[in-house]
Amino acid sequence: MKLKSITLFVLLIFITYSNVTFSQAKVKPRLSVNYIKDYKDGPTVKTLVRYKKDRAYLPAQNVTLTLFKQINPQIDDENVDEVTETETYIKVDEAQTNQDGEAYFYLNPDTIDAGLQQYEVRLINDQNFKDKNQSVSFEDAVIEASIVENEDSRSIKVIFKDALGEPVSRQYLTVRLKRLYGLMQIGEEPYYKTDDDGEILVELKEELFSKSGNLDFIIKLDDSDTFGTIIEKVTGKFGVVMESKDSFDERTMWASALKAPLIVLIVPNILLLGIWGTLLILIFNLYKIFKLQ
Amino acid sequence: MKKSASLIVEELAPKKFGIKGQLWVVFLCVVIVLALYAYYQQFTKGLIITGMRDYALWGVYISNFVFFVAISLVGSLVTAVLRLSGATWSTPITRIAEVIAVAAIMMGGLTIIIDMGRPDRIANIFMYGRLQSPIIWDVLVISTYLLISLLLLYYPLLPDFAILKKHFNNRPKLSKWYNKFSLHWTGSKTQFKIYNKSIQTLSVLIIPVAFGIHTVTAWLFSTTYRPGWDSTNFGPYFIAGAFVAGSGAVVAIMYVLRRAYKLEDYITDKHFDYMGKLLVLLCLVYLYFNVNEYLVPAYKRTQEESAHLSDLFTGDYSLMFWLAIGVGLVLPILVLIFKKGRKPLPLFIIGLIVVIGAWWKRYIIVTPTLLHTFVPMEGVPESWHEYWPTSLEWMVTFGTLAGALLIMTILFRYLPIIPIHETIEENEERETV
Repeated sequence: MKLKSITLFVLLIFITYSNVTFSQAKVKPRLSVNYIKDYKDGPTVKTLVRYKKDRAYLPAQNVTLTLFKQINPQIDDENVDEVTETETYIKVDEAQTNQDGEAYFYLNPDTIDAGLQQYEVRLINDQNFKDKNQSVSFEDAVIEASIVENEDSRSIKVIFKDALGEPVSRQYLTVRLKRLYGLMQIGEEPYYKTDDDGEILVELKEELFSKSGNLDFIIKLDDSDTFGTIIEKVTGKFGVVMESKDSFDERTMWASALKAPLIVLIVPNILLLGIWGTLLILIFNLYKIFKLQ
Repeated sequence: MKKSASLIVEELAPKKFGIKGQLWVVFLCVVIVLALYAYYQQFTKGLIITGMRDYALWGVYISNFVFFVAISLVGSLVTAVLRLSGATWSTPITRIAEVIAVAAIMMGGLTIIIDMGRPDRIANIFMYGRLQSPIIWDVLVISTYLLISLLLLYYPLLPDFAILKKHFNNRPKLSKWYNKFSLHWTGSKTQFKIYNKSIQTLSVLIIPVAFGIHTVTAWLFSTTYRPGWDSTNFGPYFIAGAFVAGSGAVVAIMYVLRRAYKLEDYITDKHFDYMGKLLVLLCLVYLYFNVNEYLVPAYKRTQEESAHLSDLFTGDYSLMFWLAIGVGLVLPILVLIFKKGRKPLPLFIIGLIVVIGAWWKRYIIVTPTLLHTFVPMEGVPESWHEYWPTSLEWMVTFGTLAGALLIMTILFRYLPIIPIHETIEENEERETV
């Protein structure tokens, strides 16, 4: 009787231990969702999925995410997938995270109306991660940028408008010039605040150099609580064209063997030919001595 | 000294090793085997087994290479410069100088391969080498100098091989080999004409190439902006130092050979006296270059040079530096200006001191400079701030030195140490006069 009890106790411990040890626990993910509207990709919901391991946050790769748009519950729509007491969601798209744990949902601009837009990114039914939702809200806005040419100066004029075309004041914009390895600050201020007309004017004082003559100015509203991130580009064709100093095809001391300066090829080769030619004659002299036996 | 030709041949013909000679060969072989073991470790595990790291990327191997190149220059000095200047007294020591030159340049070339992390890629130097790089110039000039040195050793041996062929008639196998190497030398007028012309050409040719080899080796350093190397004086400074090192080696080896093979009648006190005078002259020239090399930067004291010179004069390398200058260079001058200092034994000791000093001098030229970088050494282990060769590196280095000595020993075993034919000729000339 006692033995039976012990056996049952051990079995119970083993089963409990097995459940704890062999069933893989799902990891709690961290979702970071941002709205970005830039001149290349249009309106985009960018999601970053990470998880904590060994006190470090690592990117969660190949995780499938679903984007839902929150709409007014009164609207009768066939596509309504889920109805809660106060909110209604329409499934918009699915995307997978890349190696950096990032997933991009490219939104159709026609579906973005005036007023507050609310989206939710959901990570559900993943075998490695627990379910997680993260919402993002924004209002649509537009950056209009142009080059203003005066008699003796040039400026970049930017107007910031909301979805209804009304100017938005007190927004902090950055104006940068696109360079090969980054963005160069234009003007003296790191940020320019839009005035009551939603405008900023940045004077271009210096000569700006460019390979082709084109200058790409990037105007950015960075991570606004209301509008998200908005990036616009305006191109000016007044860059001072740089003459290429590329010496790749020239004969230089730092070029490849075949592009050595002629003097470096000629002088050593003449010396080598002269010396080795003489040495070959001297070796031939040994043969002549041998033949004179 | 009036001796018959047969007696000269008898005395100068190569002789078998005695017990000391055999022990010497065994000792060298043991050192070489240990070096091969150490090199095997390096070959399989990589240069990580050495003390070299990101900063001291040229260590004892490169200083050893520069030393070998320096020593090899003596072949051109004794054989070519003295021959062309009509200094007939140097005849008995020409072969010694030529053998030293050949052994040193062979081991110098090998040392460069040893220093390579991937010696299996050596063909890439020839396939993809850029003529803009001083390293390629060095490769070209070393191979050229090796061939000239071999020819300069071989040509004067032709009549000697013919003499030895006859001398070793009772040993047919040896005689056969000497006959082959003599190229069936008969001593005909035409043969002598070609022979003399070829030696004369080689003697002229070897001088610019010898200057070239050590100048290019100096340029490996001086074409950089590094403190201690960034000098227009480096080429002549290296050549002057090379002649000192080579002459020291000749003096030391001729003393050992004279004693081992009882050559007192051929390598006389007069030869030591002359070599002593030559050595003191060369030491003075080298001292002059040293003053230039260190005084001018010490006067200017740029930030980088200052740190480097402080290290040499009063810092970590000061003991090594002052020993190399004081004992390796100034002491020989002080001793050799006196006639008694130029006697065989004192000169032999001075010769050894000069050679050891010359070796350390190369170490001082190569290593401290590498430890004075233009950008601060940051984010690396503390041990990378200093360099000292590992025991395996020392084993490989001593192996190359033993290798050079073994080549010389073997060559001195089978070649006449003193040119027999020229000695007989000079002897006959003296008798005629």
